[in-house]
Amino acid sequence: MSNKRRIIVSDEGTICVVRFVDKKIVDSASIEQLGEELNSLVLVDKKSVLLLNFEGVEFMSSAALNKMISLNSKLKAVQGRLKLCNLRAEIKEVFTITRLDRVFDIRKTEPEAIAAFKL
Amino acid sequence: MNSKVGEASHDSCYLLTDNPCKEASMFVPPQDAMSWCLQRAIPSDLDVGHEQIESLMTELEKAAWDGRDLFHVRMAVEEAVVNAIEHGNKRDASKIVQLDFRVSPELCYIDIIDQGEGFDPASLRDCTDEEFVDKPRGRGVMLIKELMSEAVYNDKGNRLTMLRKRNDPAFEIREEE
Repeated sequence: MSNKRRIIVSDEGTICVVRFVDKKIVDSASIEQLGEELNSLVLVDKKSVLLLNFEGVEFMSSAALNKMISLNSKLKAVQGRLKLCNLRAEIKEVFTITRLDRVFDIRKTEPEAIAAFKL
Repeated sequence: MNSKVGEASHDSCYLLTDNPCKEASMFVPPQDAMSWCLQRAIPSDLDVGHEQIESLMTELEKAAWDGRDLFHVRMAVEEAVVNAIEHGNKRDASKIVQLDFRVSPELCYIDIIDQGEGFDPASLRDCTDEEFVDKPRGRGVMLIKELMSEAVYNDKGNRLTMLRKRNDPAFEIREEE
């Protein structure tokens, strides 16, 4: 798997679980790198079932949201699947305000999200 | 300038327009009623912008702001400063962004002016439309309006003045969702 600096990747069976290194995802260079690393999971590492676990993430800007949207598009193109979990209430609220809660499948916990992949 | 803490680093070009904002109809809290104020002109550099945001967040925490109030202000000011530097000044090193941050235990006032050409906020596409909801961009301004008690652009669109009241009842309903 290609080297990653902004994310920590682990496999749960066929599901690729992604955690974030940064507590606050705001720095523009880091966000660009994050976007490239997320995209490379799909384009280089050929992952198609992804779970983004936001545990520990305290804040993210809309520039970071855009990277999630881009990842979602890349996954759609390969008939992949994406779920999100462990969003703190305030970040979940951002998804709700922007209606991105209709674009992403957001689950409370990692076990809940993993179970939902198997439905 | 009566700033208690901040000092303009580019004094000669500090005043881009009248101060405080007369175009915005919102209440502008006087500096002497606030526990902390920062007035500063910064270069079009995101790292410098983020340093000012961190100062603001530190002062809000000192004034006992927390939870959603703190998060909402961080989100709005983050989007506003990034927009001013990236979309307003287009990261042009010769252009500055003028900041006016004021904090009290009850209020947070933020005024941001860039030297760009401005824009018409009404011309932005609705990022919640079915057609655009899965497309990047366009969420920053919406979040600013949704997360602050008041947010007003000047006519030119290069100045954003916003106010957040702590424990604003306008945000209680969403919390129950």
